[in-house]
Amino acid sequence: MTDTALNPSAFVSHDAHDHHHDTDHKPGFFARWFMSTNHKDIGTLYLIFAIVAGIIGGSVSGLMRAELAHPGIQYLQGWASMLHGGPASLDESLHLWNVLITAHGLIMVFFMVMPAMVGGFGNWFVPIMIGAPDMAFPRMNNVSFWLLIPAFTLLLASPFFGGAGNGWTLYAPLSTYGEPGPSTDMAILALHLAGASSILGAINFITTIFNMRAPGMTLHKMPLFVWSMLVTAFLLLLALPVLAAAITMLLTDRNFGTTFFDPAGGGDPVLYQHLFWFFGHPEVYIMILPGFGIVSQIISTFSRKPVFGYLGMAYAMVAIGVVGFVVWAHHMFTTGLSVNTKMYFTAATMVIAVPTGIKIFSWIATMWGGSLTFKTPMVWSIGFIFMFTVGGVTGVVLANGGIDDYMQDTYYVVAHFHYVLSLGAVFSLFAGFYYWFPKMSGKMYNEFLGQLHFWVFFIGVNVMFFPMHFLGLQGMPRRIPDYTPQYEHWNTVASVGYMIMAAGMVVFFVNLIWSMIAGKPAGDNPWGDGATTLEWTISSPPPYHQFETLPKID
Amino acid sequence: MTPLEPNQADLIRSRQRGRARVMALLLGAFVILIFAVSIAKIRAGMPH
Repeated sequence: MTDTALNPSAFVSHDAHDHHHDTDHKPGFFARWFMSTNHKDIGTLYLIFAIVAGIIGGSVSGLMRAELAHPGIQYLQGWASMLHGGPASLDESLHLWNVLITAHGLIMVFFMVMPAMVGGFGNWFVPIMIGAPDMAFPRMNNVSFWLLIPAFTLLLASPFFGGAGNGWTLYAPLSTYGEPGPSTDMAILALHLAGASSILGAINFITTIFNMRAPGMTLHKMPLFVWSMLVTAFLLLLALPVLAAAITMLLTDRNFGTTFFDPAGGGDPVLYQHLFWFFGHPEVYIMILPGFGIVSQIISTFSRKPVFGYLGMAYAMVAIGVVGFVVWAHHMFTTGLSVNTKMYFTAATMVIAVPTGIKIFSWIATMWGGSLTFKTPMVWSIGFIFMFTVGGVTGVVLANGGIDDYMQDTYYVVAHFHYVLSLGAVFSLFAGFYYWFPKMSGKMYNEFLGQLHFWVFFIGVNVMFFPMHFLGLQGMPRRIPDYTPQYEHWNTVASVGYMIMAAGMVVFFVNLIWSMIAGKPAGDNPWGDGATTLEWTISSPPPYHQFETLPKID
Repeated sequence: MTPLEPNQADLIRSRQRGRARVMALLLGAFVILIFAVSIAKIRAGMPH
């Protein structure tokens, strides 16, 4: 990390005080928030966007857990009738279920986790951490954010035109000739726009990190969060054009008579799966790598030690990124792959456990012998390590082609990826939010409410997702609204877990509002000696334009 | 950490801007290439 024993005092006096009036001049409300080219304002917009999308995507999962609490169709037909403005048939209500699972997946992946991690924290802190005044292309940054608004609007509007019920993977042939009407086209176009937004963002981050570093800030002095964003940006750059190509072909198959994925015309539906997962598996790391970076910063700060094995940590992320591109078909073990192919993808997938293990052990080694304080960001980070490890272990189980033949499309898979994402990525998001909230707002959050939020949320998500392992092992398939009574017990428990988690989220929003209104002033560095990266050397909140005079890292 | 002289900083900034534009163009071209290859390769692989 920038464990360069910075001496912040010279810089603070220079930047935050002497030039206060020049550096803190802000444009008017409309220009500032609707035409912003300031990386911190755009980061704030991304975070607000992600919170709104998270509320919507989380509410959709609440509807699903309500329906799944007991066997039988309970609410779906009523909801479908509301949506159609008249009585809905059973088929229409079952289609609504498909729409709900599709919406939940797409919203959480493309409109919550990615905007929060990359757009929110990345925009806010990458330029500051490398000593740059802003991103390399501030206007392109603005375009990246505003592309998300029509994308999200298209996705949210699609249920009113029939609803896209293809699942977040948009597999052909369901997404080609299986579902006519404009909804799937709207969902595909939404992904195109969100993908374009992310590609522009990735180009911006790579250029910023390679070109805008302050003199003396070498690659091997960069904070691990910046390293994580660099690797993530490369993954975005390589993976998203493939997704864009795949869904463009879906569009032409749907609307222009091509047969890329239609065997009747010489195409191949499994080809779509290969293309999708060539994007989809790196996408998992796109969502989790920034979380690795955030957790590395926090563990180091609250252990008052430089992170253990800095170079190993940085290159472990590079290794995860590289290997992440050659394991995609472990998502397709039941599509008729040859045994040799399955053996390769099983082995390659297990290799990822090595760099991931390096990271887990290095976090533990950082804490070992450290001067630990268990503030809210730290407990979220430790929660992240524990939960992500559980998800990683079930990942190793599912990596086996033979075992996956049995587990494929069961709730075991649902449990696995929610432990990695819902408990991994989301825990690191909350860790980052509590860690940087004082810097972004200039105010301290309420420590008691932060701890309460953690424990209620921690209990809630575990009560919700752990029983899904049992359901999967019993054979309960995913993506169904109804099931045999033998699965009722753990489904009811999981739905109770959702309610506990939702109560935790109420605590979060109470804390957020309380902190904005009555939070104590944070000061430049509320975390003390352990916080050594550049953001803690400037005021809280930072001046509107930081580093107008280039700093030199000694 | 020490602040740089203004003329030194201007020089560094202008170099950064030039390099950033070239890099962005190269990365953009790379994205278009991957997109095109993904489609063209598949089109070529389909039986006629």
